Amino acid sequence: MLKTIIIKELQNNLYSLRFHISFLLCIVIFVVGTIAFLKNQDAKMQEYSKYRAEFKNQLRQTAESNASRLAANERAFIWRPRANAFISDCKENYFPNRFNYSAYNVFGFEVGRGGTNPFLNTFQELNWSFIVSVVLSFTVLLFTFDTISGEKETGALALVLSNSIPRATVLLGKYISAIITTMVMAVFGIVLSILIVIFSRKVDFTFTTLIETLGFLLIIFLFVSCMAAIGTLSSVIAHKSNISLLLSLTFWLVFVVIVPNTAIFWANKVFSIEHADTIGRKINTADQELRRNAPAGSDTSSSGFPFLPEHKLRAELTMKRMNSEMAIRNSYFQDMFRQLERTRLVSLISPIALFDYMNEAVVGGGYARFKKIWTDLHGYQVQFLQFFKTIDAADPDSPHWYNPWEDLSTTKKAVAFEQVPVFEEKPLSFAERFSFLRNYLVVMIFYIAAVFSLTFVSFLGYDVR
Amino acid sequence: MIWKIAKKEFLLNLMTFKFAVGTIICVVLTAVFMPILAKDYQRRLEDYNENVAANEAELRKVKVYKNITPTAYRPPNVLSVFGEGLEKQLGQSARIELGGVSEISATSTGGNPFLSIFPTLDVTLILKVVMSILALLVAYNTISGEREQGTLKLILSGTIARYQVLLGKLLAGLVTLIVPVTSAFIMGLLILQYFPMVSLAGADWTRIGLMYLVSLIFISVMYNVGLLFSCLMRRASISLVLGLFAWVVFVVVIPNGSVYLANYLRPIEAKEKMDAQVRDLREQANNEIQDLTKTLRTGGNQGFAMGAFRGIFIVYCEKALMDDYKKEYTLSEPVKLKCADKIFEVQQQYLSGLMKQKHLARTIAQISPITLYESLMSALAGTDLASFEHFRNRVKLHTNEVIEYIRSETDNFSLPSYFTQCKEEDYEEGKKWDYDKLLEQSSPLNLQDLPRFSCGPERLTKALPRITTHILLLVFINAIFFTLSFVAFLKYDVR
Repeated sequence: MLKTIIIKELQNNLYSLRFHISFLLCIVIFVVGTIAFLKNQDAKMQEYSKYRAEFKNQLRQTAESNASRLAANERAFIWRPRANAFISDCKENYFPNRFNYSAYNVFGFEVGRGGTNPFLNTFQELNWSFIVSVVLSFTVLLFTFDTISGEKETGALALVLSNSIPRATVLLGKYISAIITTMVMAVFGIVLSILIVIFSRKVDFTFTTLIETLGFLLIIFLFVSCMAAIGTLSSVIAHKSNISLLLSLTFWLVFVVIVPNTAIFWANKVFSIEHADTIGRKINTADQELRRNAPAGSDTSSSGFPFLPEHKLRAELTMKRMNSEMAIRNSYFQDMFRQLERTRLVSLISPIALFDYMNEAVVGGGYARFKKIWTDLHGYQVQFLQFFKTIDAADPDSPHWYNPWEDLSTTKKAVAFEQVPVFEEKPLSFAERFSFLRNYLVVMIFYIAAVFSLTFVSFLGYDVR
Repeated sequence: MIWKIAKKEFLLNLMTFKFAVGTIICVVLTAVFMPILAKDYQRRLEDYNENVAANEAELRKVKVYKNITPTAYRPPNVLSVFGEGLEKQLGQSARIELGGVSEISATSTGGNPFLSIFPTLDVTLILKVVMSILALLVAYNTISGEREQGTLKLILSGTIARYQVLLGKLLAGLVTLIVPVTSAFIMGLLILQYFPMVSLAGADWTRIGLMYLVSLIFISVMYNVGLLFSCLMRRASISLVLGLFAWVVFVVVIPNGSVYLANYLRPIEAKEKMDAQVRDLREQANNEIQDLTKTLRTGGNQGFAMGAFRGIFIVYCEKALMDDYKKEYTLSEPVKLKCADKIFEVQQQYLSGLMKQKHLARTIAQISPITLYESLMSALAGTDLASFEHFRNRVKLHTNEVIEYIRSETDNFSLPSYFTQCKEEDYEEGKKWDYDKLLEQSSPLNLQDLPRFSCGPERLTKALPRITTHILLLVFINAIFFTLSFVAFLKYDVR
């Protein structure tokens, strides 16, 4: 019986005007989005490889002239434009994507604006996740808002229930058919998009991308089920389809507009952190303190002779100054991370936010990617320093006084570029992605179960007259 | 007759559930968010005051003219609570430095960079999202709904003309929608007034009045969109679905798509490229200075200290060295200034690329009345790109003023007071310098007549031509949608 209901509902849905419009809209955005992505990606990759080549070139020049400069010069690692960004860009354009480091420390991160225009408002790229989270979430509500209240109005519901079908079957049938209808659009659009990607030959569609696509489909399925449950719920709690439409629109507005737009206020009010200027002043004070208490001669610089005792004093002072600055900065970074994580936690009320976070895990982008690079880069920095110290230890002309900003009292010999460790980003492994995804998955499933059971309970008491 | 219809429709609208929900949501959202927005403004104002005070305190510590490198801060705009625009996105300060270009970072600093991924919130958002949906909901069944009920037939069987019916309905819808818009504005202003640090000047009230007017025109556009679909379709539910799709396209697809397309059609140069050009120019200038001053000494008996704005200055130095320094600065500062001008040009070029892209995106997005409305609101609030340019120009002017001041005080950078606190007459043959004592004894410069930076918002009269064209465009779109509905309604089959 369930099958009959599903088939009937599917036919209804597929022939409806709203299906045709949303299908058309969806396909158009899928095609336009993918084509624009490919063009942009091409330009971005060219820019990136140019930058990367120049970076390596500079590294080579420095290595072949002076090992201390190699260690002390501050460098920036910029992350590569992700090839699978057509699935979801995870707002990476607005993420800190530039990491500053030297052998002595990882100094911080910034939002390197590369090719993005700061004058434009924050916008979402027209990729798969945008289409699903905004357009499809809206469509699925349009398919579900009148499933119960609409049929009640036309009187069809009373007829259906006068047969020997249990209410659960009716509800489930309608629910499943709405999910299937929406998934049809999603799958169609995704396949089209993949075909465009493959035939353009600009981006490799690898086995990993395929798995990511499948994972993404799974997440869409969960997300659509969740939104369908919300739509059905608003259909069940009202007796007139107008009112259930109003309810589902309100839900949608809260999820798409109000929750994300207010997140920043929760962040600033509830989880407030210090202003960067305050941190700057703190660093300044600590720095002046260190300089004042340093033994005499720590600040002079005159002779180029490496073994002068003042150089040792100065090296110690600079080391201390850098460490004190970085201690303050690192704890500030931790505050920032905590603030973001908590804000994300609050925004989990919205399934759309939940969907976005799950996306990050599936494609290995956004915050998950940032955290991975941040940790890896710290590991690399330790390794790089060790490498430098080994080189330095082999040089009899060096007094081995490590000064993070100078090359006076450490080795000035050249190093073979091939030996120098270079930081490369490792993509997140599937195990890491899953561990990132796990909690969100649990929340999502709980969300669906809760909303659907609420719907079910309300439907049991629904007056079909 | 029009009035009769309008009155009847208005009263009917007032009784509906959607009207109640829409108005309540609008007022409640304003009531909830206005305090948050006002507090946020207060916090930014406090930050601003603190920064300006810190800057002033540093200025009082300046001992040599070379170290006058204050920072110009942009005061926060109180009207950003109505239309945030780019207010928080763009840089709020610029360091003024001789020889260096006061770089205004185009990205705002100071907050958590991760939070820039979350979108913004202001009164415009509430109005554009909630009110536009409400307008559609009020409009969608005016014609098709009455046809379904059969009342349309009855009305038109009388002597009344079709245009009268349509006008009456338009009037009724607008009067209905004025209620929530007005209550949201009044509510917002009342709450805003309650905050002690907020003070609205006369010009602000004019701007707010214009915002209110623009909001009404915008609501009328959205009502006419709903009316059009109502006149085109025979069933109310279908006109609603179409209206909602149009809304999604207007509110989500076009704003995002336009930016995406602008990126695609008019790619911008990478910032790194401009940075590299700037680096090259600096290097060139440095080389030139080195060439000019290679005969001069730099080493000798001297002591440095860190002064105001973390600038280094000379506490004492021997006579010969001082003369060389004097020559050096007279030669090097003009080169630096010239280099700064060149850097400004390069930056200007890069920025104009960014701005062209922005304009393109905005032009594309103007197909959607919602984006048009949004950009109008930020223009009226003085938080759009033009206000950023205004700040940039003010900074440039101020930089020149400061440089002129330093130049006149130090006789073209040739006086010792430009780089050292010690006087020429202090010098004696074979004198022992006491660094600590000298540092303590020296008094800071008197900078009473140094020009201070101030930057009010751009004048409304200057922004008016731009705003007027946009308002006219909005009115035009309004007229088009109404004409279309009128044409559709003339042929409408009322059976």
